Amino acid sequence: MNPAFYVWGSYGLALLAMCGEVLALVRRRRAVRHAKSTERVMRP
Amino acid sequence: MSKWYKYASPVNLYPLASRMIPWFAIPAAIFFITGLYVGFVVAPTDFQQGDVYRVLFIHVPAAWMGMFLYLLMSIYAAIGWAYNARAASMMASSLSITGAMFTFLSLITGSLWGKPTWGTWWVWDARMTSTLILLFLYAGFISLQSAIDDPRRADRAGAVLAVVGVINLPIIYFSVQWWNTLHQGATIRIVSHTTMAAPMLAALLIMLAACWLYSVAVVLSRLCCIFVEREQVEVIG
Repeated sequence: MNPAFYVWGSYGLALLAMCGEVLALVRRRRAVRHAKSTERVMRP
Repeated sequence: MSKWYKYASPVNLYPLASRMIPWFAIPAAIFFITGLYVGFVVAPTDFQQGDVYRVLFIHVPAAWMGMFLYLLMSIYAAIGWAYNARAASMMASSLSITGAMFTFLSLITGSLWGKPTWGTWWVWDARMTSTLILLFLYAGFISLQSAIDDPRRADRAGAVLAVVGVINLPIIYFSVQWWNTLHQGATIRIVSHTTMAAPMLAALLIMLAACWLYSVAVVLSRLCCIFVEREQVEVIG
């Protein structure tokens, strides 16, 4: 197989893993903020 | 000294951690771009391996970060367990996911490098098997933490596993010396002269710095989420 497959495969996977982690973190931050603001509204 | 003790409390650490995230995230992006430029443009093609060796610019930093983050995770987990420090236990939880990601990445990229150079995707070699065990240790830690509802009990259970698992780190590091392995020995040495060409070494070290900065940024970001989820801290930003 072409060596470029292994090189770009590796960097592509690394990019996917890191972007996936960052995206998951952004979603988690949003969920946490939403839960906090909802909690504040619900609190008497 | 007492000034630093206040950061053991999540309420005091949270504002500092959330302010520090961009100071690591932006340099991480700059270092990644520079590292890729040096690794792909400046570093010459290897006379034996050709261009496939460029996989090592991501494989080696990922492997080092996987081991280093495990060491940090076990230290924080042990501090949290011994001193009942909540922030330390939360830091251990935060480190586990990034450490697992880097260990997984090191195994996959190692496999992608191994196929064209060794002719095989995987062998049950001491270095690779012990790194796979490291991934299982991370998976065990993450599973234990999510399986136990009470966070304090989950932290203690995770800490036991993390501390016991530290024994695997010297096994990974010295495996290439203790056993006859397919994986080559250390190329970069602190005490003696390294056998790598300067541009290749530069690319490797820049990528290592980028991975380190990235890890700090995401770990702090996750820590802030854990603080808000588990402690009564107000959201900043």
